[in-house]
Amino acid sequence: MRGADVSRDPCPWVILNDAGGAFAMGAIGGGTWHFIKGARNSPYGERFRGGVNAMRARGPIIGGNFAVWGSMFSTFECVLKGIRQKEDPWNSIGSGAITGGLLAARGGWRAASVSAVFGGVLLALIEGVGIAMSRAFAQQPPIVAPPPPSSQ
Amino acid sequence: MMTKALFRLRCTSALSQPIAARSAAIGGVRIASMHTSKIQLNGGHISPLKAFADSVRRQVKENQELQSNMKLLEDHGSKISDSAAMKKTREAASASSEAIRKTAQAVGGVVGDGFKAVAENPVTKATGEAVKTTAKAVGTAASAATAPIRNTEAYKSVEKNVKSYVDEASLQYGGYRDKATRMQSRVMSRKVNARTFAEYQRTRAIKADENAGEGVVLHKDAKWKESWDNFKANNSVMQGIFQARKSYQESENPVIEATRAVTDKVRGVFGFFFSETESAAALRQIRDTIDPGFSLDMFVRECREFIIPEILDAYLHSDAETLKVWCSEASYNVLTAIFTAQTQQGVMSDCKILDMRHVDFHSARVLENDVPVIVVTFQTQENNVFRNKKTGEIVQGSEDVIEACHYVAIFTKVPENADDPVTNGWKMIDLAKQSSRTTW
Repeated sequence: MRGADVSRDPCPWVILNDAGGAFAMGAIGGGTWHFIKGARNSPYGERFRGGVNAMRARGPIIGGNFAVWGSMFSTFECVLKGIRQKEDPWNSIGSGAITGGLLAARGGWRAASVSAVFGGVLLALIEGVGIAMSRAFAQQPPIVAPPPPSSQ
Repeated sequence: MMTKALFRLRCTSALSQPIAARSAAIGGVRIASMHTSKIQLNGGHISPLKAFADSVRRQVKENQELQSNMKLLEDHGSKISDSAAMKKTREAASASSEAIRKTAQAVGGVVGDGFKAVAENPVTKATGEAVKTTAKAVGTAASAATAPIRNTEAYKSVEKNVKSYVDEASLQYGGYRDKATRMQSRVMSRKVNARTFAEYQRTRAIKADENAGEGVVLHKDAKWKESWDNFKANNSVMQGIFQARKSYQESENPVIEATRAVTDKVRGVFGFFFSETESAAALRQIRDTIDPGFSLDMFVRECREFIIPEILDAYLHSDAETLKVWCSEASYNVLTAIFTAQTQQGVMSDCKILDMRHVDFHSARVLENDVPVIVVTFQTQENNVFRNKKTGEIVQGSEDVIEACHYVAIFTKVPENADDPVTNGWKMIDLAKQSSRTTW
């Protein structure tokens, strides 16, 4: 299948992978960010402890937020794949829109639809960049010599 | 033939777990593998449900083995009871149970009936029952003897506090408790927090001792510091280094100025990580001048668990006394002005805080009058309803509307109030609602 990514698991299990990967990204990135912020905001002599405390307080929260986003996105992508029975970038874009809308649903219809538009546009950009890069790095088909004329 | 023999060897190894030997036919070659290496199958995919089911099956099997082993042990146990050693133990046990009963009566407790039956029973038969009933008697004696203590108020309140303290860990990400639970939990946690004497020494408030006398004792490191300062001031090499540094900073040579621009830029980049921000300076001032045992982590935790819920409760329920304890003059006047106006119009506030979360340290700064303050932000979900005091009908707001509000609170520590058991010296000098939006 053109465009299929065979390094990812099939659909139910990929949700677990994506949730875990997103949590790891969020926790490590958020942890580093808050460690630096906490260390800067602490007086001399307490910097390390301040950084560790801030990282401990805020890092898992950011990891959790990322994991929520990643698992929802992956779930809806699988749902769309199952409904449409096709694998193409529209699944990702639609899933991004639904995820964005759901995560802002507590603010009412308007906030949810704005967030859904943002999610869809963001995913469209990501997918577009992905397609452009795969086209740029696509391997040329190997040049095959024409078969020798069969001797009669 | 060889492979078959090896296969059989692996199957009959001495492991207690059954080896589920699986073989996969890949391209006609049979590969035998142990169940722990399921990873080899299915091209790298372990079905999580299958792994879980296999694990459960294995544990049930192990449990059955455990049960049969236990049964064997009990059968052996009944044979032990007939020996002479067992008879001696039985006598000793009945003697000690007599002693326990006397103690229980001395404590003023009620002795359970089951205990009496065993203690005054004539020699029990030499069966496995002897050990079991004695053990049961001691058990009931203990619980019967302590029953009066367990029923007193002090123990009950301590028990409740321990439970609620244990629940505190779950509060870290949000939550709101009512006033009574908060107070109990605070008292309990204060006792539990000072776990070691060292920690107690660090956290107690230190006051000046008037009888201490006027003599000054030199700090033990002062000699080294003094000698190092002397060295820096008198040694020619160190002076030469300082001189060179000074001339580098103040030189007007264009080449040196260009170099200086580069080094200053580099120092700026590193300084981002290593310089002290305004918050750090303010926190250091609090730690040095007001409270040596100050820890930002503990302060934010106190805010989250006790201080902010107290103040919010007082503000929303028009509780002026609590506000007076916690607020400074100016903020007290501002906050009470709002609800005294309401009470004058005969309006009673029926606001409820549904949730409070994300209590964060925002920054710390030093105000103009050299007072260090800490800025804390938090979010709540409230239901703002105002009722007519006499009729109880809703004057403003609605019971169905939930608002998500962002607040800012500014705290400082007043050293004179450091003894206050409720506030520990912390005072709120400002509380402001930044934004409010309806949510569901």
